[in-house]
Amino acid sequence: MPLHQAADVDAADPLRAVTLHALQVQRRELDQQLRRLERARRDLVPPAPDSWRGAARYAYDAAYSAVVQQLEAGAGALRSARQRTDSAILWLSHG
Amino acid sequence: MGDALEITGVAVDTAELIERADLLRELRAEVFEIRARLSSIDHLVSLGQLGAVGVPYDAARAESDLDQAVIVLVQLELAAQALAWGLDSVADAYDWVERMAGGLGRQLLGTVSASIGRIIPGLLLTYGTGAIAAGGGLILASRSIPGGFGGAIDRAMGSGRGDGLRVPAGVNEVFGHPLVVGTARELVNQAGVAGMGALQVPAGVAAALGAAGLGTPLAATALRSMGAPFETLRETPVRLTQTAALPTTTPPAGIAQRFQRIPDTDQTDGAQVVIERYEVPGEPDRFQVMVGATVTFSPHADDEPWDLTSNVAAVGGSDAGSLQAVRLAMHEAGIEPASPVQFTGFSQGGVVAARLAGSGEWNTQGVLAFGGPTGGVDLPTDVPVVLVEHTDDIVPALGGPQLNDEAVVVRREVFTGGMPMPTDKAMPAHHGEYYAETAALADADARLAETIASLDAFTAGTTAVTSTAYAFERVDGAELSGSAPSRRWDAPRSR
Repeated sequence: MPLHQAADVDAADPLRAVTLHALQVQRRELDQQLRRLERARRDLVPPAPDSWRGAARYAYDAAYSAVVQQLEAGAGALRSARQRTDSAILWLSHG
Repeated sequence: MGDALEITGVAVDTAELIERADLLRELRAEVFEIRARLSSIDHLVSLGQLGAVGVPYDAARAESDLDQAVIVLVQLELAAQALAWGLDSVADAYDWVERMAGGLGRQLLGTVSASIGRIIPGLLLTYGTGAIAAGGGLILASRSIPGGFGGAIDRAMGSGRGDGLRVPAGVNEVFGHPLVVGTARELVNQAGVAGMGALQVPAGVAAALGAAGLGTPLAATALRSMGAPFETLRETPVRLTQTAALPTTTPPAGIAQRFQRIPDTDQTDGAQVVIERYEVPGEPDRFQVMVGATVTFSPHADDEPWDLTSNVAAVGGSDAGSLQAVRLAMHEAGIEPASPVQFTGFSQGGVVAARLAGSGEWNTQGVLAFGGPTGGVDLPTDVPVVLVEHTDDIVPALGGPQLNDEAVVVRREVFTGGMPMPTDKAMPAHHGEYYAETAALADADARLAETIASLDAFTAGTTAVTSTAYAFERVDGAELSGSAPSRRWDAPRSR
C-alpha cells in the first residue's frame, strides 16, 4: 500500500491504521517464509537415487512421501494465510 | 550381453544415505526457523482486532491458517528428524550387515570345514593323494601333448592361438555360471581351512582364520607343495631381458584408458610390464605401473614368469616370479619407496598389482585390478582401490572371498539372460575384450565419477610422460649368477 494512502487511513481511524500496518508486516513475513519453505522443498528433500532397491527404497519412498505431503500442506496453509491477509489489507485500504 | 554394473564399496549406499540424512537435518533446522518466525507474527493481529475494524470473517481467517501452518511445520520437523535418524540407522546397519553376513557365513562354513579336516584326515589324505596322482598324471600326459598341458590351455585361452579349437558345449557355461563361480570362491578358502583342521588346528581357530580369508593362501601353498615332487609350480629367479620406449604422451584418464594401457604380450613383443613416468613441476615424479595377464598356463616353470606357477604363488602370498619381475622393473624405472605410484593390472597382473600395493613397500596412491584373484590380498584403505570382476569369470574367484570391504568392487555378469557363451575360447568372461567393455561401462557410470576423479587426480599437472615396456624371463639360480646384462631394444611400437 502506498504511504500516502496509509497516512489517510491513519488520520481517519488509528485502530484501523495500526491493524493495517500489522497486516502488512504479517503479509511481508508470510511471503518470505513461504519462499523459504518452497526453497527447502526444492533443495533439501531429494528423492531416492535410482540405484536404491528393495525394502530400504520402499521405506525411504514412504517416509519421503510423508515429508513432501507435510511440506506441501505447510506451504498451502501459508499461501492461504497470505491470500486472506491480502484480502484483509485490501478491505481495510478501500473498505 | 549384460551391461548392468553392480558396484560395492563405492560409498554409493552409505554415503548417499548419510548425505540425505544431512539434508533432512538441514530441512528440520530450516523449518524450525520458519516456524519461529511465523510464531513471532502470530500475535501481531488478533481475530478480535480484525472484527473490531470490520474485516470480513473470511479475510480474518488468515490467523487460523497461520496456526494451521505452525502445527504442520511442527509435524514436518518431527518427520524430517525421524527420517534422518532412520537413514543414519540404515547406513550403519547396511555396513554392519554387509560385513557380518560375509564374516559370519564364512566363520560357520569354516567351522564345518575345519571339523571335517580334523575328524576325517584319512578322507583328506585320500583326496590329497588322488589330487597329487591326478596332477602327476596330467603332467606326465602333458609331455605327450604338443606344447604340453599348459599349451593346450594356452591355445584355448589365448587370442588367435585358439584357431580351430572348440571348448565342448556346456563347459564354459558350467565354469562361468555365477553360482559355480561364487561357490568356487568359498571352496578355495575352505580347502585351506580343512587343511588346517587336518593339521589339528582347533576348529574355532581354523574357522576364524578362514573368516579372515587365510584359507585361500594356505590352499595355494598346499597346491605348490603337492606339485613339488613333480617339479611343477616351482618358483625361480627372473631377469630383465629387454626394455623399450613407448610413444605415450599423455596420462590415462578413466578406467577404460588404463585398461587399454595394460601390456598384452602379443602386442608388446613379450613385454609384461609397462611403467609410465609423469613429471609434475615442483613435485617428485610419479609412476603408473601396469602389469599384464598370464602368458602361459604351463604348470612347469619354463622361461615365462607370467605362468601358472606365478599365479599360484601370487595368490599364496609367496614371491611369485612375476612379482619379482615387477619389482625389478620398478627399480629399473627409478621408483623409490617414497615415489607416488599407482598400480594397474589384468588377471595375474591384477593380483600382482594388488600384492605390490598391499606390501607397504611403496607409496601407493591407487590400485585398479581387472579380473584378478585379489580377494585375499590386504589392500590399502586410504587410497582409491577399484577391483573389476565378472561374476561369470572364475579367475577372480580363485583368490577366495573378496575381503577388501572398503575397495570399490565393480561387478558385471557378461553373458546374461541365457546368452550362449562362445566355444572358441575357454573361460570367455575372463577375456580382455569383455573387461574392456566393462571398463567403458564403468567410465559412464555416475556412481563411479568421484572414484575415477580420485584416480585421475594422481596425474594432475603432468607436463611430460615417458613410457617404458619391460620384458622378463625365468632363470635358474646357476644361470642367474652368470647372466649377461639386460639388453635394450630400440623400435618403439605404437599401441
